[in-house]
Amino acid sequence: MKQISYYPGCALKSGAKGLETAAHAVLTVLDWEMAEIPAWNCCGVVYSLVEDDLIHRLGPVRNLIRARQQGADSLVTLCAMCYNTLSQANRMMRTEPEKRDKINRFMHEEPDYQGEVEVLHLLNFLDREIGWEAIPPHVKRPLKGLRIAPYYGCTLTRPREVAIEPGRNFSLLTRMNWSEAVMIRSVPIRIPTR
Amino acid sequence: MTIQFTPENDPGRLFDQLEPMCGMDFHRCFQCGSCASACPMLDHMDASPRKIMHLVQFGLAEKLKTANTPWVCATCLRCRVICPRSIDVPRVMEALRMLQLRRQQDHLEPSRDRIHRVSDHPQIALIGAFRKLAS
Repeated sequence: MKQISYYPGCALKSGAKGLETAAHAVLTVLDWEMAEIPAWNCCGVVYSLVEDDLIHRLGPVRNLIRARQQGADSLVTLCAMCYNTLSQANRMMRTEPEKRDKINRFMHEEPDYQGEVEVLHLLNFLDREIGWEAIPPHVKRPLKGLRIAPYYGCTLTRPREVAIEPGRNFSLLTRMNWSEAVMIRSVPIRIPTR
Repeated sequence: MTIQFTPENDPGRLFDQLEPMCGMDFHRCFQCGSCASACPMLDHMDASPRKIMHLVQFGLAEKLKTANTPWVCATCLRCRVICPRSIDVPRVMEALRMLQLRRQQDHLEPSRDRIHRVSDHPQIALIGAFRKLAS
């Protein structure tokens, strides 16, 4: 069974426990294991936007270091807010050397981090690593006749630099439903581009 | 509205504080109101994001302090995506929040504001609220 590093976050351990259980179950069937990173902490929830506020970005960076220590190249999240803060912090560590150095110096007890880990939302992981075509053979109960409205929300789609898909039209969820290969056979309801 | 510039409301003072936090030229905003049209929280704001940008351009710090707009802003970034002048409005909102929070003027204070039925709120909403509304 192949392994992928996983960052849960608070919601997946409380209100959204069901999503974590489901994701574990789905990936197990697909022969993947989500390995929870050790000693994870808060993701920061709302990414701080002002230039001189780095303290709120330490949380997500620390989590990325935990993943790196686990030897991970990529880190999967299920929560949209965690995805956003982790990938924005990661982008800062990759593209803003001044802030990166400041943070690395401040967290001198931690190994230096330069954005080596790739942050993936589970949808990206299914799309890139597993492929939608790998899912149909495992469908036991097709969701036939179910009308499904894909909702991406704010933090998976903005800012563009970290959006789960490039461009303005988001199709990850509809790709899973539309594709003839995926015999889930549910009917996606298209929401006008936000 | 007549604006009287005095040493107290000298726009330069606000710019000196906001510019290092935002790293942008506020005068690029040409007041088209796209930000307000995109804002999902507009109905709950006493001044639209467009008006806030206008107040920032004039450096009217006192008026900005009384507006609820930065506290209501959901940081959804729709205004940032839609702005034809590439102005990062959510960053201005964050900076305005920070200016007050750094003076210990918290907008959310558990000992003062009773948060009803904490267990009814998603954990993430509570953490998000404290992150944005308290120092």
